[in-house]
This record gives sequence, C-alpha cells and structure tokens, in this order.
Amino acid sequence: MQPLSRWISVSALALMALNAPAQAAVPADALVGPIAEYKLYVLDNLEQLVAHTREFTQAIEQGNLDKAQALYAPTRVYYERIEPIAEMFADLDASIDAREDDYEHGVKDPDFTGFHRLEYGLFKAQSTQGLAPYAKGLMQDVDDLDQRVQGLTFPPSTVVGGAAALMEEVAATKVSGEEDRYSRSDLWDFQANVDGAKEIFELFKPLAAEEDAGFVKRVQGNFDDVEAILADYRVDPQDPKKGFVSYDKVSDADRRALTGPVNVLAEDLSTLRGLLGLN
Amino acid sequence: MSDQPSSRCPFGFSTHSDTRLDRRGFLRGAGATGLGLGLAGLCPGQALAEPAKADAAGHTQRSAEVTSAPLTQDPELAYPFHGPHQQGITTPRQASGMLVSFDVLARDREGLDTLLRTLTTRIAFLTQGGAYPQRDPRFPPPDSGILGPRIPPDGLSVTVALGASLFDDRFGLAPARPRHLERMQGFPNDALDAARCHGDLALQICANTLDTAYHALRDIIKHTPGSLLVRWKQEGNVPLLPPSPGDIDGSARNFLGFRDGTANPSAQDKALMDELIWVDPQRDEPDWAVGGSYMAVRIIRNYVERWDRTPLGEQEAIFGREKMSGAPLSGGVEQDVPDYASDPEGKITPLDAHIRLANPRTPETEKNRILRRPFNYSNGVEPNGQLDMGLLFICFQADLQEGFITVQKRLDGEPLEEYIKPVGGGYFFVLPGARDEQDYLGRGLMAATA
Amino acid sequence: MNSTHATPSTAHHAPSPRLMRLGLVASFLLMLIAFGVFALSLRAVESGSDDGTLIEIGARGCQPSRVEVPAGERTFTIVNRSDRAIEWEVIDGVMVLAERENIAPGMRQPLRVDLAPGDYAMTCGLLSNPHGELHVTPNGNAAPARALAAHDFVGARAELRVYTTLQMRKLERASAALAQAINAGDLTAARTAYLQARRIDQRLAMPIGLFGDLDQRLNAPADYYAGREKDPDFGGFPRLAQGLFSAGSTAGLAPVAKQLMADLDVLSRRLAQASVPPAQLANGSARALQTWHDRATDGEMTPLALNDLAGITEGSAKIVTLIDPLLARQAPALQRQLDQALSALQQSLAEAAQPGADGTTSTAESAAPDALQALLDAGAVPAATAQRLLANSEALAKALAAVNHALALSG
Repeated sequence: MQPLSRWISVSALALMALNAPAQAAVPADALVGPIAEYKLYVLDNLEQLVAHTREFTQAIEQGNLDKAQALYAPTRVYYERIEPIAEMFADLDASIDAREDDYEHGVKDPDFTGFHRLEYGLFKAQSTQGLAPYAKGLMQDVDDLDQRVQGLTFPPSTVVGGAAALMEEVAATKVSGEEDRYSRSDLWDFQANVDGAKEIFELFKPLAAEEDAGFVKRVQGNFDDVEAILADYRVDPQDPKKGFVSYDKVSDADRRALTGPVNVLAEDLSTLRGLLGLN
Repeated sequence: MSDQPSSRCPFGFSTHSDTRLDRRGFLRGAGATGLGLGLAGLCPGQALAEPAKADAAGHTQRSAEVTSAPLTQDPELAYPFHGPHQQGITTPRQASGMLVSFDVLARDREGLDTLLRTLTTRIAFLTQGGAYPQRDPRFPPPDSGILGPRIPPDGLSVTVALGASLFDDRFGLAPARPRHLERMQGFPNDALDAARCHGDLALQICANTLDTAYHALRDIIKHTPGSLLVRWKQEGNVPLLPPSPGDIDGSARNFLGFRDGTANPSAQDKALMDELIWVDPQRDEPDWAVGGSYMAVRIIRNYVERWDRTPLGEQEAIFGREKMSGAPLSGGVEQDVPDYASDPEGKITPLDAHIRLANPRTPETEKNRILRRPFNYSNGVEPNGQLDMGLLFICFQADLQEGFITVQKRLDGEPLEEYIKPVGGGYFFVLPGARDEQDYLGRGLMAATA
Repeated sequence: MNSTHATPSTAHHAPSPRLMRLGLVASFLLMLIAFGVFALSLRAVESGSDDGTLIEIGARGCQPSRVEVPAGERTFTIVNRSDRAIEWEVIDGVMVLAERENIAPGMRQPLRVDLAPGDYAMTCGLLSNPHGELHVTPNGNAAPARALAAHDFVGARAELRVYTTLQMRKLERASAALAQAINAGDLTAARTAYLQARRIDQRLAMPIGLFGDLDQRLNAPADYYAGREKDPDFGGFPRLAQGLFSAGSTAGLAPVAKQLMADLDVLSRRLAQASVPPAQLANGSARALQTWHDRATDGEMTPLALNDLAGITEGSAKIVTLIDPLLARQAPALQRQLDQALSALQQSLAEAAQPGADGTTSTAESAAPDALQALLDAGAVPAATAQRLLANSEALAKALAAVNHALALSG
C-alpha cells in the first residue's frame, strides 16, 4: 500500500501541466495502429461476451438458479470492458445494461430488461421464474451488438476518450455500489472498467509518452495503485477467474481509499484526448 | 488578518478610516452630503457599494457587524487572504454561504501536506480573482467557466477547518489536537443524519453570489482529486437587504421570519474578538492553534408550515423578540439590551425564551458568547410535501465547551424545539491564517507534529 | 421526329421533300455539335492532351531509366516496346503508389499520378528487369487544396487495418487447408481450398498491392516472368491455379504452397505494421478492379476470374463503406454513383455465380465456391454475363478513381 501516496503528490503535478502550450497533433498515421488494435480488443471481448451470455441465458432458461447466479458477474465483465463502444448504441445500452433507477416504475417497469433485470430476479427474488423472456431478449441484444460493432468504424476520439469515460463510470456508479445492488458483484465490474481503461491507455501510451512522459508515469502509477487495492479483494489471488468478494465486504474506509486514485485517473485521463491532439 | 476589503474601483475610494462611527451615524452622514451617490456613478456596477466608499467613515462601516444584512453585490469586493486569522469569520456575512465537509483521502503526511498547500494556493487565487491560464481547447478547460473568462473575487471567503477525525492515527496529528475538538454528540432534540455529519475537513465558502461559491468549490475539487472526497454539503443564503432607510439597520431574517444575530459580539471590537473568538497564547491550547477558532456547524431544519400556523404572540414569546422590529419584548429597538433584571419571573420575556436562554446577559455568561454566522437553506421537498427549509447555523468561538456546547445545553428543551430539528453538522477547528506568500494553512500543525 | 419538331407549322400537311432534307441536315448538325461538346468535355476531364513524360519499356527495362519531374499531379505515357503484356508501377519504398497493368505489346497507356517530392522507383516490365528511378523535385505551387485533414481518415484507415487483420487470419487458415490438401494429393479438396483462399486473397488485393515484392510473389501472372509458366520464379496463387485447374494435378505444387505460406506470414507481419495512406483507399481499390478488368478483357472469362472478381468486389465493398461517410460531406453525387456502381457489380456477380437464382447468397462464403465449382464444371462464363461484369467492374473502378479528386487527396 506504500505506493498509494503517489497519487497525492501527483495531483499537484497535474496542475502544472495546465500551463502546457497548445499540443502539436500526433501525426494521423500514428493513431491508426492503436485504434485498429483497440477494435480487435473489443471484438475479442465481444466474442467472449456472446459466448458467456449464451451460457448464462441458457442456465436461466433451464431454471438452473445456482449456475445462473454464478455466471452473472463473469459474463458482465466483457460488457463492462468495452462500455465506451457498447454505449454508442443507446438503444442496446438501455436494453442490456440499464438499472431500475432509469425507469419511472423501477423494477416493475415493462421496459426494464437486460442484465440488471435478470440480476433482480436471480439475486433478489432468488428465482429463475419468469426470467426466460428477459434471457432470450438479452441474448438477442448481445448478438445484435456484436453485429453492429463488427461493422462500426471506431471514431478515434471515442476510443481515446473511452479511457476517461470508463473511469468516470467507476467514480460515478461503482464506488457507490449502485451498479450491482442485488448480486453485490460490483468489484467484478470495477475491475472490468479498469481493464478497459488501461487497455486504451496502454495502446496510446507510446504516443502519450512522446508528448508528456510524466503523464504516462503518473497514470501508470495510479493504475497500479487501483489494481493493488482491488487485488486485496480477490477470492483467490492466484486465480483471477474466481473473481471478487461481495461489495458488502468492502469497508467504508476502503471504498473511500479506492475513490482517491480513481478520481485522479479520471482527472488525468480526461486530458488524454487533448494530449494526442484529438478533438 | 484584516477584514477590510479592497475594491478595484479605479478611483481609489477604498481607503478606510480608523474612525468608528456606528452604522446609523454613517448613513446619516452619507445622506447629508449626497457626495456618495454622486461619485458612485463613476464605478459602474458598484452603485450600492460606492456611497460608503465616498464617505470618510470608510465603507465597511455599513456592514460592520457579521450578521448585518448584506448590502452589496460588488463583484470586485476582495477580502485579503493573508493574515494572522482566516477569512470568513469576522468578515461581514456575505449573501451566500456554503459548508462543505470532506473526507481526507490522503494516505500519509506528505499527501496531507500537499493538500494543505494546494488549498492555500487555490484559495489565495480564488479570493483575489484573476484569469486562468489559456489551454488548448482539445483539453478539458482548466476552469469550470461558470464565472466567465475573468474570475471576480465577488466577496469570496473560503475558511478551512479540521474535524476531530483528522487527528486520528493516519497522519500523526493526535498529539497536536486542539483540546476541545471532539466529535459532535447529539443533543436531546437532535435527529442527526449520519450522511450530513462530521468530516475530516470542512470548508466554509461564502460569497456575494452562490455561483461564486460553487465556482470555488468546483475549482478546489478539480485540484484535489485523490485527496478530498465530498462527504456532505449544505448551501444557504441570507436576504440581500435593499438600502431603504426604513429597514436598513437590522440583522437579516431567518426562515422563521425573525432577525438572527442581533446580540452577536461586535467584530469591530478587536479585544473582544481576541477574548471570545480567537485562540490566544493564554489558552491551554497547542501553540500552533493560536489565531485559530472553533467552528460549530448545525443543519437545523425548520418546520415552517407549522410555524406559519402558530399565533404571532406565541412566536414572539418563543423567541423573546418582536417579530417585525426585532426589538426585545422588554422594549426599545433591536440593538437595545433586553431588560431581564426587572423581569425575574419572565412575565415580559419568558424565562425559556430563545434569546434569554442563549444569552442571559449576566457577567458570568459573558464568556459563553459566540459569533454566529448562519445562512438560511432550502433543499426541496420532504416526502410528506413539506418544505425542507431551515438554518445552516455556523458559529465561532475560542472555546467550544464554553461557547456553543454550553449555549446549546442551556437551550435544550426550549419551546422553539417544537418547530426545529437539528439533522446534521459537526465541530471543526479553523486553522490559523496564512501570514504571507511563504506560509500555508496548516503549516504550524504540520511542523508541530513533524 | 426531329424534322416534325423543326417544322411545326407544317405538321398537319405532308412534309415537303425539301423540308425533310433540311430537317435531316439540321438534326445531323445538332448531333455533330452535341458530339463536339461531349468531346470537349472529355478533353476537359483529361485536363489537356499532353502526354507528359514518355517512358518506353523494352525487353530490358525503361527508357529513360531515370526521370525527374516536379511535384504535383503528373502524367506519364507508357509505351510497351516489348513483345509481351507488361505493367508499370511507381513504388515508394515497398509501397506501390500507382500502377498501370496489362499494357499490351505496342500499346501506349497514360497514367496520372499525384507525386510528393522525393525519390521513387519504377518497375519496368519483367520482374527481373532493373527498376528505374523517379526523382520528384519540390514544386511550390503544386500542392492541391486539402478539404479534409489527415485526422479525418484515421477512423477509416484503422477500420481497414482491422479488416485486413481479420481477413489475413482467415487467409492463413484457408491457405493452410490448401497446403494440406496439396500435400495429401487430394485434387478436389485442393481446388475447393484454392477457391476459398484465393477469394480472400483478392479481397485484400488493394492492401497486398501496396507491397510490390509480395504482390508479385503471391499474385503475378506467368506473363510477367521471363520464362512464363516454366520460369523457376513463377509461383503463388497463379502457379497453384495453373497446376490445379490447367494441369489438373497437385504434382509439384507442395513447394509452391509452402512458399505461399511463408510469403503470407511475411505479409501478415507487414500488414500489422502498415497503415494504408488515405489516397490509396479508393485508388488502390480502383487499381485492383481495373487490373482485373484489363486482364479479363483480353481472353475469355474463366470461372477462376469470376472467383477473383468476387473477392475483389468484397474488398471494394468494404472500402466503399469506409469512404461513404467522407464523401457524404464532400461529394454526395459521387457517393451515390459509387454506391450504385457497387450494387450493380454485386448484382451481376450474383447472377453470374448462381445462374437463375436471385443471387442473394452469392457473397456467402460457403455458397460461392460451390456455385463456382458448378461453373467450373460448366466451363466458361456466358458471353453476355461476361460483358456485364466487364462493364460493371470498370464503372466501379472509374467511380473509385474519382474519389481522391473529390476528397482533394493526393499521393
């Protein structure tokens, strides 16, 4: 936990960067590779998402509550990693990942579907009863998402801005534990958002380093800090597949401790687009 | 620290005089010469403030007392940042105020030190105003922009205070904890909501307009990611009183319709402030705390619908004052000292009237006097359809026990309790001021525990 | 009809012979004028009749072998003095900037190229001939206006890189299956595998075409080698096609397949690093189509050529989807033209690959080789179908070739 102090001194450094002159745009040529690599990353995750969603929804349709509960969090990981792209399709983002708060009538709202509707059934009602239509709908939506993303030309600024967007997502809904309020698997999503943000950062790191080496070092350090705290909550540190303990087990003090580096990352990554000269 | 504000009127009328006229005297003077209004036109946008500046008495006289109703919206009004005490205590109460409580996320002393230095730098800039550095538009802007390209000081004061929880084992501050700083305990009438209580660090942010306060808060949040996490916040305001002769010299009214702050000790009386408000070397406090002060914060919900259905006579008996004039029930005008000596049985001013309990006006209770600096708040609607309104009560004192805690204990069980419900707040210790450019808020504390 | 219009007052009478003659003359004159305007407009499009730099290609190379031109849009006229069909290319490092393929012996072909200052190489006929040098000098007033910034193309170029990466993965899998069938001596399986692999290869015709050396090893026809089919360097897909479909045997093809796999391995690593320059998106695709068209014009259209066209068209369709959003802003008319040309070509291809069917499944990868297999059994593509394919492929090539001008892109 010693490196955790880094992000404090770091925020003062970030301020100095404010005086940086207008950035010379990174040559367009240099952006092509990382953006292409990112799409391949997204496609890989989508392939996993489709496969896991199939297994998850089949478990529901077969009425296998234990299996469905066990598959809920690991399936979502692949969606949460690619959220900057997935949420470009507003209709699917709503039908796949909206929370009950997004609807006037909450859990009773007929439009409330997707992962969180299934979460409500599996973890709150503790039953697969009546969930089959939602499972079928989720599978269709995920297949649809897969098709749409395959044909999508990724807008460069969405890709680069995605790193900050993911950290904003963490800061807004993961730390508070709103995301997975019934399954309490928030840390899975937390880690997945961090994974997704870090992937983008890693792809553009060489370019960012040319513009501001200190920035890269700082962000790297903060990612390390967040992952170090998250690692403390793994069920089995040797086996990442086993995932995380319930968010209920995370103390208030640790929730606040996570907030620190997350906010610094959100603040720092919000400058990544500007650093690379993207609008 | 001096609370004489500077203003950027190019005509340089902001010199103040040592002459201490009372406010009414000053106003008569200004009205008699007519000079003030004539010159006011030379500084556009400062019409309300300028007459004061034109008068030899010095323009700060018009709002000499902390709780006097604010008169000015002068955007160029700037209170000096550096000095032995922080701003926002003896500073005339601005029209808008906000109390923001934070958890400190810094993990070690180095992080805390950086935080305190950052706060000092930001507050020094924000309270004096100026422009932010330009930035390439492809970056997030350095500033929220809600005040436009140039930040006016707008009477902003930001006061930094520490909660008892910061003196736990995280930063090694425990040995240097101010003697009376403790976690606020609930009083009998309290219904404290944990989400609106306590905190490691509190900022009292006040300005002419709420926008300026919000701007300052957002600037500070943007500059302290990873070190500060907002725990709760409550904003409020006091009505800006137009300088109409008939109603000029009253304290501002709270949401119960009564003038609030009448018997405040005079901020103009330096000796009194040193005695009642500022920690001085004679007190049994750590050396670093000298120049600081205790701040008690209470979020006090008012049941205004019920209050409005209460007979006027009963309201006045509950407070011990006439509602419209603010005068004590014993007669006179607002500023007159109520006469309790000739009313030992409380026939005129009930013994349990709010002002009689809070300040019995006896020599032995003089040391319990506190400097109040409250704001009215309105938060929306309760589930039952009633308005969520009340008082963001803030007060300062050199000794928390002798000050707020003693006063509140006297008030416990008062008839007013039927109409109010404290729901949040906390105790904090206001750091001594940053004396100059080299100093920073909390330097003494950090050095004392190094 | 012209005559009655020319003499409306006499319309209800029988026209007099004199008026009839006058009308005919008038309509003939009108026709001439129209033709003249058309010809003039053609000249305007070609922007001048000058031949630019004349380059003669003989049996041993280019004449002159060193050329110097100022930067900007330049015309080269290539005259084939050799006794076989040749190609001429401008190469920047390993990337092909522009090329004119299949120039028949004795023919001259113009080629316009937008050139930035720098040193380039020219290929001069046979692959064994030495490269010529092309030196482009700076020219202050030759820079074309750029309506779009380089950053506007990043998304499209990245998406193309994703496409090539994914197709390369498929190509390597398909080629492995092909090599396996050849090694096993299974002619039928090898033929099917060839059709599949080659079709993917042709989808990538544009990006592969950027690497002159690999493009030659993978795709150069026998004509480009001194010893034609017997040339020891003759390899790649054309060599496999010759063995599998002309000779009807897998004999001697194993080393060719092995080399093909090795070349694909190099190609995949290069593609993973290379970004297609914006100007090549449309131009490169136009070239691939034009090359196919020029070769197919010469002889009868074989089912193998049809398979190639199916691949090239799929690759071009991807490019069109990438260019469309850019054109929508800059040149909506050209965008419509491009989309129409593409769907016309896809339609005629569907009809050719599945005679009698509506063709909707023609682009499905599994269905197409079966249909082609049927065609292979049937022999050559019917003449009417062939004509439509030629016309439609050339129309799409022309529409693609106009894109850079519309986007103010060069080089």
